[in-house]
Amino acid sequence: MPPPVRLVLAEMTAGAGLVLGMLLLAVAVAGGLAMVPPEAGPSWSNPFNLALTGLMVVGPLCAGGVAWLVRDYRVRGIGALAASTNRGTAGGALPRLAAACAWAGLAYLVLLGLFTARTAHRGAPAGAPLLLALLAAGFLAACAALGWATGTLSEARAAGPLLAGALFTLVRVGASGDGWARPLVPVNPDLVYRPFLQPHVRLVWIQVVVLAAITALGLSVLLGRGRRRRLTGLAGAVVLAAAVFALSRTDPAPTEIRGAPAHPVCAGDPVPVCLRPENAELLPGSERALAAASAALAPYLAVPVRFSEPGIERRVASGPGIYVPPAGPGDPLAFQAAALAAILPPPCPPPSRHGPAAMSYGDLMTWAEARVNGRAGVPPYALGRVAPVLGMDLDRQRSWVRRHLATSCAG
Amino acid sequence: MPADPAPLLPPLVTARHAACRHDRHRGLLDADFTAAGRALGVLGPPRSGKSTLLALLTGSRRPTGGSLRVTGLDPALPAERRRLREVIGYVPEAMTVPPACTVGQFLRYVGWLRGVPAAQLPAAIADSLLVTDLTELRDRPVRTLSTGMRQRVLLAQALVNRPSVVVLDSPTVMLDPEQRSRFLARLVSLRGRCAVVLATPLVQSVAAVCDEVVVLAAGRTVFSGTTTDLAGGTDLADGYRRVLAAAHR
Repeated sequence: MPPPVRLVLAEMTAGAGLVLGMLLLAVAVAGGLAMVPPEAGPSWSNPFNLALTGLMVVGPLCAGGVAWLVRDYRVRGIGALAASTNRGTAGGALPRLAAACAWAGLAYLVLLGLFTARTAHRGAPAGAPLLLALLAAGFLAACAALGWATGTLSEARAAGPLLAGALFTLVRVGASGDGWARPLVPVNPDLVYRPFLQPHVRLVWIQVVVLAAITALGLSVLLGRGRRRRLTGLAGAVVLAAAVFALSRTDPAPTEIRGAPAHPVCAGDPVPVCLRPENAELLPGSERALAAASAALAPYLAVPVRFSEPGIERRVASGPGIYVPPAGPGDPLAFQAAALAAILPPPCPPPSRHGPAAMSYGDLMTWAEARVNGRAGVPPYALGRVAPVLGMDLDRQRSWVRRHLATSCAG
Repeated sequence: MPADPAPLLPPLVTARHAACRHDRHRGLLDADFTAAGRALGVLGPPRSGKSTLLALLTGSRRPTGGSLRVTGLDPALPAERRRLREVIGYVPEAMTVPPACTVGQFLRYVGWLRGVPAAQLPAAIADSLLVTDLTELRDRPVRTLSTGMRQRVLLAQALVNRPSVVVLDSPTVMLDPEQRSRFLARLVSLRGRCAVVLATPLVQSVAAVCDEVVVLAAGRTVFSGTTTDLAGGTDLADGYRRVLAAAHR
């Protein structure tokens, strides 16, 4: 075994390194079991996003642990010993840093394994979900660099725990915030990826650059007082400023629609519908629901002639003919709701929060349900609003639909 | 104590107005001496610049003024500083070994720090353990060792690269008198293998080990010569006090 590997293993399996490792693994196992993966259909992005969310605790703990280990290294005089060698003070601390990072990486893999085992996915992950793993690595590297800098600058025992607490608070508050600065925090605890969604690639790359700049700024503290330190610090600051500027010019939505699959699964009788291959089991239910809804609504409005999941024919999340299948094959009503939304999409995305507009769109969907299933399936409180419409003749119902589609766009 | 010069080798330390200032009044302001023997003591009260001088001797810091050579190597020059760091062993002040690691693990770590080639490391570790009588304790965690044994571990780490000079900063301060005398006897026996530079506030330690001595006060050399010269026919401690008193006047 190469000597550096033996040194890192020795640091991982004894003393503070071992304690930190056990703590990180315990947090990862507890977090991995406590967090419930969403039932959103097959997606590789969800387990990667959940594992990244788990780093909200693992990352700050790693930062605090590194600060503690580096402080210990200096207080024991080992840093002074290393300064008298060609490895230097910073180089001498590398085995400790590597041990902490290895434990944090293992904790991430535990999180990822637990979520992957409990989340539906198909085939190998594509590039976009794997970017979240790069983001996770960048986050851990930035945390470790901040820990290293803190341990170098302060010999106070409380420095490590304080850093961990401050980082956790910053990430937690930032993750629940809003506005252009929100993407500075690389964690999205409330995000759910439907099968047609993937991480916003450009945004994730900028986040990776932000984390790299923070890492460089942290490491500049270690480079003594010379030109190398100033250059590294300056480069980190410039890159950080550029990345923040780029963030402010980027769509802050954390997701985007995936590109078209090479081989979508399609059915064409009587209504053509195409789904992503990982949703193949949803095809029969989708076909049935779309056929029934199309047949029932065709006399009253223009029904799309073909349907497909977002990204297969058009890279939009909703619109006429854009069909978002339910998460699983078990619930026929879910297929019906998905079919109605594909025929009668909210005409003004994003869905209006304007009261009358939302009510108008709700009435329209209730009417559509009643047209497909008959009045029996409509709840009594909603039936009262649309029952008179259902009794009208064909032309008046058509004009009612047109009017309501226009109103639901008013907000 | 008789001097044991090595005439074919360069002097152990040559300092010509060497300085390493933390600010205008702190640090090492003016070190000017030559030590040609096998064991140099560095005496001085707290904040006299002893640790800064040792940082220069070990290549940890670079002089901000004057010149300095250790076994002929100039730590101000990058190539010679690299070479110096390979031939130096160092026991920093108040250093402690992480209690959870074993003696062997710590020596392996220091061997890696010193750049000892992997193929030579096992033999180098075995040798340093043998010299410090720690062979039996190689796999023992440091937390199970007594204070005296831990101090021997610190000495063993300083020998792991088979150095030509071992620099020790106040290594006996934490030891009781019996442990201290045993440790000093071990340093005396080391002089056959390598030169020793011992910085300490304890005059007796210098008297037991060193043949030459430098006294620092307020960052400046106030005496350099043999221990016999410092004693001036009396006790070494008296001579040291006289030199310090003269420096303060």
